[in-house]
Amino acid sequence: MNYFKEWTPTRKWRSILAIGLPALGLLWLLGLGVARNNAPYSSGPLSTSHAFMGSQCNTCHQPIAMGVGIRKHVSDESCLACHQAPMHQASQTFTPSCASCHVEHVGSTNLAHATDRSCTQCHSNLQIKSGAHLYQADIKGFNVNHPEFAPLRAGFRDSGNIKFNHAMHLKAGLLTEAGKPVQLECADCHRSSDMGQTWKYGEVALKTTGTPAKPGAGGAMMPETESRPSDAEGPSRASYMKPPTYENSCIACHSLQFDPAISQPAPHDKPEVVHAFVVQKLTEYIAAHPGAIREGTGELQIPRGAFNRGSAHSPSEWVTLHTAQAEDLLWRKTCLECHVLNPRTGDAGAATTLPVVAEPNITTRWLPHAVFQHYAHSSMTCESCHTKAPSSTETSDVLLPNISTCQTCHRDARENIAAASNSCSLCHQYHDWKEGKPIKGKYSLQQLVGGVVMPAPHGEVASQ
Amino acid sequence: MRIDETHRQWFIGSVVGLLITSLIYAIYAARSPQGPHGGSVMGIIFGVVGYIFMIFAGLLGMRKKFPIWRIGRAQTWMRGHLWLGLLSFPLILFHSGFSFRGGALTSLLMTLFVIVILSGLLGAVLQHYMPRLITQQVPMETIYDQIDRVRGTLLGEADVLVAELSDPVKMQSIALQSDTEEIGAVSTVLRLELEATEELRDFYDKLLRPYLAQVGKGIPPGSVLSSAIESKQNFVRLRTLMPKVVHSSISDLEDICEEKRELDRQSKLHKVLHGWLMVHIPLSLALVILGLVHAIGALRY
Repeated sequence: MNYFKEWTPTRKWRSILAIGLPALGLLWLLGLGVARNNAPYSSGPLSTSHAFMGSQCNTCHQPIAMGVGIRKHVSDESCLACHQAPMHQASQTFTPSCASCHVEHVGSTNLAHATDRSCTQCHSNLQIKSGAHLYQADIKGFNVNHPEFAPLRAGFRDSGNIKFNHAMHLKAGLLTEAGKPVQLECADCHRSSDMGQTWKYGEVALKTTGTPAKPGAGGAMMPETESRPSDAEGPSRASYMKPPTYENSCIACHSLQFDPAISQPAPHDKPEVVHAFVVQKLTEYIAAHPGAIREGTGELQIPRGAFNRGSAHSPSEWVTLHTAQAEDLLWRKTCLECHVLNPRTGDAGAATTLPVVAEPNITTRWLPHAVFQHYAHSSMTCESCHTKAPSSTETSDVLLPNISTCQTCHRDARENIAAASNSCSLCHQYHDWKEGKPIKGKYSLQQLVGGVVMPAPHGEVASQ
Repeated sequence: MRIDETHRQWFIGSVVGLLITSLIYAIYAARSPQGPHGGSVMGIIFGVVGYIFMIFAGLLGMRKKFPIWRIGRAQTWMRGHLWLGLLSFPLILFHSGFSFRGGALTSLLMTLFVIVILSGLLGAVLQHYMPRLITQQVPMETIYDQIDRVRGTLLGEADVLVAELSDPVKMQSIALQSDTEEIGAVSTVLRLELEATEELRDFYDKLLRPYLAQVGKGIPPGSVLSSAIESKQNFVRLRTLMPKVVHSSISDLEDICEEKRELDRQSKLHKVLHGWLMVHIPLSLALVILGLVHAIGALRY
C-alpha cells in the first residue's frame, strides 16, 4: 500500500528538473560573478557611444557615498565626470537628472537625443521661478501649439542694411558689366559651404576668365584658408548659409570703377581705404600722364546733377579735383546703390568728408534657439521653402519659411509613414552650450576598457 | 480542475484588478518622459506586486506538500494560483514597459515567464477538459500510480490462464467435465487439442504476452493488440481454432487484453493531462529564484 510513496518516472524527472534548472541558472550567474562579469544584470545593451566600456559597470555605477550601501545607481556626478551639461535656463523650476532624459541600456545609437516628453514635461505647462514667460507656455510638440517662428510674427522686419531686391535680381534678361546676359540663381549668392565650386559671379572667376564662370567649374577657386570638406564633415559644415559677399557674388555686375582713366576698380573696403586707393591711383596716373592736366574738362553724369571737373593747374590740383569727382561718384551712386552711408560726425580734418558705411547686419541665423541643416534639405528647390523670395522687393522682408512649410514634412509619423521626424531635439538643444566649460578627463584608457588595450595599428602594444 | 461558476469571483476580481492596473499603467506611461521602464518607481511597484503574485502562485506546491495545514482550502489555493498567476503576467509586462529586450538575465526571465504562462494556460485548458474525457474513455480508471502494478497483475493472471489451457492433462479434464457423453471421442479431441494448444501458445507468446508485458513504457508500438478492432479479430480467429470448452477462458484473456488497453489509454491521457507540469513546475521555480536575483541586482544598479 506504499505505492504512493514510490516515485514514478514522471515525478522523478519533474523533481530533477525542478532542482536542476534553477541550480543551473544560479551556477551560470555564480560563474559570471566569479569572473567579475556583471553583464547578465544589465538592463539592456549600452548605447553606441558607451559600448566601448563593455562590462566596466563600475565606471558609471559608482556607490553613492551616503547611500544605503548596496545601491549603485548612476548619479549625475558619474555623467559629469566625462561630460559637460550646461544649465538649460536660469529660471527653470525643475532640473531633471541626466539619466531621466538620456536613457542608457536601450541600445540607443544617439544617447544625446531626448524624447519629446523630456521637453514637454515642462514646456506643455511651463512654470518659471519668477517674472513673465518669454516663451509660449503650452507647447506640446512641433505640431501641437508650437508658435510661429519669431521672425515671422507680426511687426518683425529684417534689420539688414544692404539694399537688396530679390525679385529684380532673379529676373530674366539681366546683363553683367561686360554686357553678358545672366540668369541668377539662389546658389550664386547663398551657399552654406563652398564644396569646391566656383562663385559664378565672384572675383576669382572674373580674374581667371574675365567673364562669369560656367556653373560647376572647378579648379583652385576656393580661398586658400578654406579646406575642402570631407564627406564626413560636409553636412556638419553645411548648416547655415554664409552671408553673401561682394567679392563672391556682386563683383561681376557691380563694378567699383571710379574714373574712366583708371581701369582698376576701387577696393570693396572702408571709405578710408577707398579714399587712399583713389588718391594713390590718380597720383600714379598723373605722374605717368602729365599731359592730362591740359586735357579739356568734361562733365560726368551722376545722379544729383552734373559735376563739372573744372580745370587743374598742377598735378596735385588735378588729383584733388579728380578725387573729389571719383568720391562723389562712389559715395553718391556706386556705394549707395547697396549700402547705407551715414555722414561722419565728430571727426576733424579731411577725413570728415568721408561717409560711414552702416554695418551690413546680415542675419546668418534667424532662429538662435534652434539648429538647422541646409544640407539635409538640399534635395528641394530653394523656392519650395523660401516661397516669398522670388517676389520680395524689400530688404526688410523676412524670407524665412514659416512653420507650416516645415510641418508639411515634419509631422507625426502616425499621420503619414513618409513623415520626417518632428521631435523637439531635431531642432532644439536642452543645454545652453554657450555656458559650456572644458572637461578634464579622469579615467585612463585601461580603466574605461577594462585593462585590455588593443595593439596600436603600427604593432606597438600599449602599456597595461 | 474545471473552470466553472465557482471561479466567478476570482474572474471578476482579476478583471477588475487588470483594469485598475491598466489604468494606472496608462497614466504612468503617458507621464513618463522616457516611457515606462522597470527602473522607475511605478515600474518597481508593478514588478514587486507581480513578483508577490508569482510567489503566491508558487506556494501552491507547498500547500500540496502539506495538505493538513489549515491555511485555506486546496481549491481556493488552486483558484488563486490560476488567477493571480495569470494576473502577474500583465503586471510584469507593465513593469518592463512591454519590453522583452534587455540584459541576458532579464531576457531569460521574460522568456521563462512566457513559457510558464503558456504552459499554465495549456494546463488549465487540459485540466478543464481532460478529466471528463478520461472518464468517458477509461470506464475502469485506476489510480495512476498503481497502473504498473495492475498491468503486472493482469500479466500474472494471463500467464496462469494460458498455462492451464496449455496443459494436456488439464485440457482432458476440462473436456470430460464439460461433455461426458463424448468420452468415446476423447482421443480424437485430445489430438485436436494438442494442435490448438500449440496455436494458443504461439498466439500468447508472440502476441499477447509481449503486449501485456509492456509495463511502464506505454503502448508498444506496432502491436496489433493495441487496436481494439484488430484485437477482436485475433481473438475471434483464436476461438475458431480452439474447442468451445475453452472459449470462456479465451474471453477472459480478451478481457485482460481490453483492460490492458484501457490502462495504456489512461496512462497516455494522464501523461497528456500532467505532462505540461514537467515544463511548468521546473521553469516556475527557476523563474521565482532567478527573479529574486534580478530584483536584488536591479535595486543595486
